[in-house]
Amino acid sequence: MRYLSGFILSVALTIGAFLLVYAYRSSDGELFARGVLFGVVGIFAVMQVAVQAVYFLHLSSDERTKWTRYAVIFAVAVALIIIVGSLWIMQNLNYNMMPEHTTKYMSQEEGITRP
Amino acid sequence: MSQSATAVVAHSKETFGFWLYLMTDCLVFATLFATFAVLRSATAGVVTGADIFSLPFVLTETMVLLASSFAVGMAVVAANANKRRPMLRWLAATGLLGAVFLGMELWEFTVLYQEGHIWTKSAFLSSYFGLVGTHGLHILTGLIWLAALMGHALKHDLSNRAKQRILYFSLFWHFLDVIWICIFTVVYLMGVV
Repeated sequence: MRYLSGFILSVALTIGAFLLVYAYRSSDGELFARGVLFGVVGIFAVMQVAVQAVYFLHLSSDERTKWTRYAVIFAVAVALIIIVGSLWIMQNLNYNMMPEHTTKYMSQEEGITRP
Repeated sequence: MSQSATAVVAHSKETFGFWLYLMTDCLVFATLFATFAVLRSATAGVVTGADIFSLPFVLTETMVLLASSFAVGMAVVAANANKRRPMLRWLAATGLLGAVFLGMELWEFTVLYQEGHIWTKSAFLSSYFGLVGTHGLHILTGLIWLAALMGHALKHDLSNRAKQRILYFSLFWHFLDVIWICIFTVVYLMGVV
């Protein structure tokens, strides 16, 4: 039944992700780049979430569960805003707080120079 | 409306309400994830993920939790087919596997504590314990809920109300496994390279 298929797919995706990490580590990053690893492992995770959502949580395009679907989509949207937004803001902050940038900003924008 | 029609509407509103709760819980984890993502490299010169994470251990944990998610699905199938004894056995399997998972996680935390890699040492460790610890607390709460459900099922026949509650528990449990997928990917798999 659906639970068994979902289980097998999830196991496959999980093991696949772990194998990729092992392959990367044993080849010392020669087989593929770290960015590629993160990308593919990330895609496996998204796929597994989708598999479990459909097979375990029974999320479907059924008319009767329309509002459940909308609630999930909205929550995912808010979650993405929180996560992507935090990463973006903090990266920007870290960049602008580097010593070269702070002294340059202070002298150009505020007219403050170090003694 | 007839009695059973209102019951159907009431139950579908209640189910929707439970989904809304689940989505708010999802946002709690989203903020913990965002925090971890921002702070993962703030290791304060102490340990990094690569130093403290064991992939075989986490793979085992993951398989255990996945199996428990499958088991609770089987319990729901049995409940809907009014097969009380198989349902109880599947619920017991869910609880056992969940307890094994929690035990493994507690062991992992204990080892970290004994080696001095605790949440006060770095922002990375803080956010790690915050995220994974919260997930563990959810598992613990789920196990307590499961015990209550099983206690009730042992003493009473399977009513529609009881089946509803078992369904809600299964949604909660599946949701925790979904969160764990994200945790083992982002924290462990990406943290170890």
